[in-house]
Amino acid sequence: MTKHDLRGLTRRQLLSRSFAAGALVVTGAGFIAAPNAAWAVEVTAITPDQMATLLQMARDIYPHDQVPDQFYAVAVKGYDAEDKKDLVAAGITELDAAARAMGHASYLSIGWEEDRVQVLQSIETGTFFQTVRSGLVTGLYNQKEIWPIFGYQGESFSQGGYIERGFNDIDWL
Amino acid sequence: MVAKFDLNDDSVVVIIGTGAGGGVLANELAQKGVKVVALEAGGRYLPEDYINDEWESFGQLAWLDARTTSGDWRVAKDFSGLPAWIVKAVGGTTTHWAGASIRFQDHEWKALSTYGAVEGANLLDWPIDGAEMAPWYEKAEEKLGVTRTGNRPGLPGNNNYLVFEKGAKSLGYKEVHTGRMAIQSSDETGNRISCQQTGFCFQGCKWGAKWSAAYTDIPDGEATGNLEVRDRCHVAKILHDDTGKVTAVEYFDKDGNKLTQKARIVCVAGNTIESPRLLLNSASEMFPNGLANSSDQVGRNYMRHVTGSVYAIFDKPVRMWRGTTMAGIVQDEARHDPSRGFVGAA
Repeated sequence: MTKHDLRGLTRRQLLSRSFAAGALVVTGAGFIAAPNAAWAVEVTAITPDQMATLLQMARDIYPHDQVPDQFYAVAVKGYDAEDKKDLVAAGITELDAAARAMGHASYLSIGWEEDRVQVLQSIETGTFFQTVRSGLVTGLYNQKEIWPIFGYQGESFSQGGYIERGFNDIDWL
Repeated sequence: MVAKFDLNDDSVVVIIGTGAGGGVLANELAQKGVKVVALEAGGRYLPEDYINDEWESFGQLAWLDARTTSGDWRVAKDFSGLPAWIVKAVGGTTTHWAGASIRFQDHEWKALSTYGAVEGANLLDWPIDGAEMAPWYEKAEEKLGVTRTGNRPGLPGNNNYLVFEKGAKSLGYKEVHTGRMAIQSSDETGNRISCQQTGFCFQGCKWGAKWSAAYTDIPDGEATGNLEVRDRCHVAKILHDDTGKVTAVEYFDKDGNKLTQKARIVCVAGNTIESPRLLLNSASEMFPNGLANSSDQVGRNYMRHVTGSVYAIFDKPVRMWRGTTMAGIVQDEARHDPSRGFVGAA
């Protein structure tokens, strides 16, 4: 790795690099999994490579270092469906073509998040990107398990609302 | 004893929609002994059914029948498949609304006279004004329990409001407060539980602190024995006789059966999109342009909330979700002042 390639690494770029370079195991046997097998996503209608691509797209579109991979996987799981596979195939074909036009082998092969984001930006006005992006708004962020990561408390009625739980406790104004 | 009227009973008043208009009217008539059949396209949900989760609640309460928009307005670009967020449920959009209850300003009753003709807009003066409406506003404010009217205190400011207030006052704004809200603010001034600052107002108030026809007017009307609410009954067409008077409505029940309810009077209260749709869909040989449409204005002049959203990130936590969602208001800029380059304001 030359000094030029290092390009002032940010922490996120470091993490993403290790993620893309092998943190996902694509077995070709119908599922992708975390390296420690803590979770796996089975695919039936689309290929494991396509699912891995969608997962990487999801993280590149809405990057959160503290959100584990399985939540991004859940967010794109719905694309593994008969009525979605054509959209996925066509979209990823275009995505990989855009990656090649920028000198890479494929989108998934790109190590730097910054470079992957550039590829995404080149297709961002298309239907595939818009569909994936808008689906993530609820598909990713409406997973209750990740709300504590953002400090969001979620459901409130069962706890009596916030009238006695700090509804006006801001102290730094 | 819940009322049950016969389909052939032509002495009933039929009300289509049970929200702010239909729900209240249904109750007011029932209280006076008038027999009412209220047809509601949506289902019946009460506070125990509401969900403290924005997305799941949307799936429960929102009008999700396919509706679309087109043209050059921004909503057509961003949300052509979901142009409006209105409610399909008993109580209508009063289930979802924030509760903001502000009176028209005097000049807003006379838009055409005050603003003059505005290109691209279709302005008129109302045939009524603030003075005539004042006692009715007061009655509504009493009924809904609007804060900062009568003896009702304003809601306390939550974290979101406190940030907003600090910023507004730093800019020199004076009319900054937690708003005039149809939300019970004190246990002493009404018969609903007071606001518990729960933060899911738009998903239905699980305490019933916010006024909604769903758990006030509708059950109150039903208790008289004069009101029958048929939920999951979607009206398709209004029928009339050959003198042009309404005679009945056709509707589909939850199983898809087409039924006809006779009526002596029909009230159309289906909100901004569904009411015109129904009137236009009720076109007949005698009224080829739809019902109540000699003006050709049915379905035109659509008005909605115009929203500009601004988000801010602060260095320290705000926890803006803790409490009443519509946390406050600045009214300093709401005056009509054409020197600013535009008419009207909010």
